[in-house]
Amino acid sequence: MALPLKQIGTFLPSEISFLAENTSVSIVPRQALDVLELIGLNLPAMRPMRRVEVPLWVAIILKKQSRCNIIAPTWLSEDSLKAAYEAEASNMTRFSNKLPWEWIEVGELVLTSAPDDLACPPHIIRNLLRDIREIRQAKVRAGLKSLDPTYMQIDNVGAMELNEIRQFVTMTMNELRVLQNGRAEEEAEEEVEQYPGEDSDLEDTLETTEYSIPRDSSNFDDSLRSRSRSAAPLGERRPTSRAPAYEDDEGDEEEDLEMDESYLHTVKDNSSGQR
Amino acid sequence: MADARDAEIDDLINNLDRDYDFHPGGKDNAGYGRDQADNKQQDLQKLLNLWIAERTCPDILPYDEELISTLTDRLRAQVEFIEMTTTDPEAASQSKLKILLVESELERIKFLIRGYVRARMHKIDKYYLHLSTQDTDTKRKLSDAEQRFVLRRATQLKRFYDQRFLSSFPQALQRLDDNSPILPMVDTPDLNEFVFVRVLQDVPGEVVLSNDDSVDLQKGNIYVLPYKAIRKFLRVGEVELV
Amino acid sequence: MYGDLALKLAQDARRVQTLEALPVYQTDLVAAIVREIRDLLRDFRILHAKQGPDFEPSQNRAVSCALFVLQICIRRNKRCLLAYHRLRAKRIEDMVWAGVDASAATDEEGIVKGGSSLTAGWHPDEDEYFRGYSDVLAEFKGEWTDIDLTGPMDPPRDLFIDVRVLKDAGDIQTEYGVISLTKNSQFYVRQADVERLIQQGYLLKLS
Repeated sequence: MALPLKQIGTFLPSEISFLAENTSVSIVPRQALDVLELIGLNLPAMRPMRRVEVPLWVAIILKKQSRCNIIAPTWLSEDSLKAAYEAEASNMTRFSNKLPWEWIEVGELVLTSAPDDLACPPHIIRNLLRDIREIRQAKVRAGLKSLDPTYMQIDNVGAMELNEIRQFVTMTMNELRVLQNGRAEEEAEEEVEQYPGEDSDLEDTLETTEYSIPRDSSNFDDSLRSRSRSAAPLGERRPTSRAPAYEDDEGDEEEDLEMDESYLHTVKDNSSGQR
Repeated sequence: MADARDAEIDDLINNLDRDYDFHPGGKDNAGYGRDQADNKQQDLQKLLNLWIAERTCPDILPYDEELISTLTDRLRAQVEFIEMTTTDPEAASQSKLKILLVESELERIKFLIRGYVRARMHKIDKYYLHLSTQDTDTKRKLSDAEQRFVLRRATQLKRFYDQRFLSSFPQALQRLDDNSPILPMVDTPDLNEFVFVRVLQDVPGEVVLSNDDSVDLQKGNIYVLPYKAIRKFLRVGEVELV
Repeated sequence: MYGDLALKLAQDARRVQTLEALPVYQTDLVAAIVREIRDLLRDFRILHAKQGPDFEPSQNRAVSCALFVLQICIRRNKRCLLAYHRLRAKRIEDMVWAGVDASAATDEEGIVKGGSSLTAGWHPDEDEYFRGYSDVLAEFKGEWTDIDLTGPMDPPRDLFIDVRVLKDAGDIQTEYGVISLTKNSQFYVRQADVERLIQQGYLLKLS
């Protein structure tokens, strides 16, 4: 299909990582390179031992060929990560703002491509990153327990963290919305005669099934469903009882169920067209 | 000698850029270079945003003809650079590294454009009936090639249905676009679907979601909201899809 | 019972979703449903004609109801037919996107030649749809001279990769000279040069 199933409604982890490779890092070149004109930027001229900023993907290529050293971002140091962990632990209802959007991906990329460029042994950084990841995952799980069909606020979430819950959150909230709207409609239109052939939506059902089955649910996703314990909410949320109505209503009218005389008229028209 | 050749090639590439980049007032060389570099980074950022948005948005977004053609022009120039440099038997080791970098970026840009186009094709295939029968406003979101595609694929599928069963029905029963409320046949994007957004600029006032709920969109916030509720802020760049 | 056949078709469609290859086209079932629709239409017309030209639906609820039921049975059957064919068409489109070469399996008239597992059991009209959609997509792809739209959908990693040859694939020309891809040999090659061969199963990308 035009878009592979595993890329519908979510991104691959490798895609999130790919995006993170566009962030800028400092490197210390080991050799000279003239200005290089690329499509998305002009690479600065490089001179040995002269620090420059380049996209992470460039840094990784140069590092692989031993043509530079990567200077790890300041947040990716032992002290900063310890502080970040403390900040995470001190508030179990919010993410701290100590880490950048791409913290998981950049951390992983730097650790694998330039472990020797870190100021401390890589396993220390790796362990700290894992601890932070776990404590943040606990918050995510807690937040997912109280999804509702109105909205959710998750400031300071990371790109990878967001992508891991993307399908679960959107699917759940969409389903909740449909259930809630269904209830609202029923209440509003109690007197309207219901159309009997409900299972005729087969085509729709068949076509949308790919959205309703999480094919690529990671272990993390599974754990979200089964192991949520703490009830701490993620961000602010107020209880809701009504179906959402938006200000921006252009070009999208709610069609009401009308199912009596008018329908039979079309029936009549159809048949008279036959003779 | 090798350096001289590199410089020549660099000049050539510069000139190629100059041919298709329009810089009003970019007269002096230094200022020009900075403008051009800024534009490049903005263009890449735009492409990244488009790619993400098209993948996460339930509706099909307007096609960015200008950006894509600018980028494909640059792409072509880079391919020429590679060809010129690799056919040179005396290419210095610096050139090899340059080629590796240029080629790596080329693959990255191609991947993004391909993904962007195919994310659109996915929606075009899914909502082909809606897109091929709709008003001009909907059509304007598609490129010329996409419009041709959607009409031609609609014709092909209609023919398949006709051959198999549809043509044996009376005229009134042959319709594929019967959108009566009880049995809507045309699949359309669900604008109420939830999306993840990041707020780029404070939005004054509260955004009302329902009678009981409203949200305050402040710079840096990340929300999950119905697409319909943030559509107008997306259009003016106050929020972005993430 | 009216509608039973359509249900069967819908169940078959559901099964199609989980299968690797497109199962045999339900020619007889489709024909039977089309016949059922014709029968229902005939019943509808007869009943409607009996009411005379001055028929007012609101005056005769019983007849209105009967007409209504006939009409929704017809619509439901049509809908199941559409769902079944749309789903199969979609699977065929997926194959076109994936670059499956079905032309090798069918001749010009779409007659299935022996031994092909891919298009075996397809209706000839489906072979034609495959070709039709291929043409439409090919035309669209033709607009993109610089980018292969059916190229890899995974983000590019390393420009050069290690590959092992699974099946003899002959010689390929690269800018570093000609490489002979003989079974079980291993190469360090530019990924873009061998992408197609990896997709076709000639080469295995080593991590």
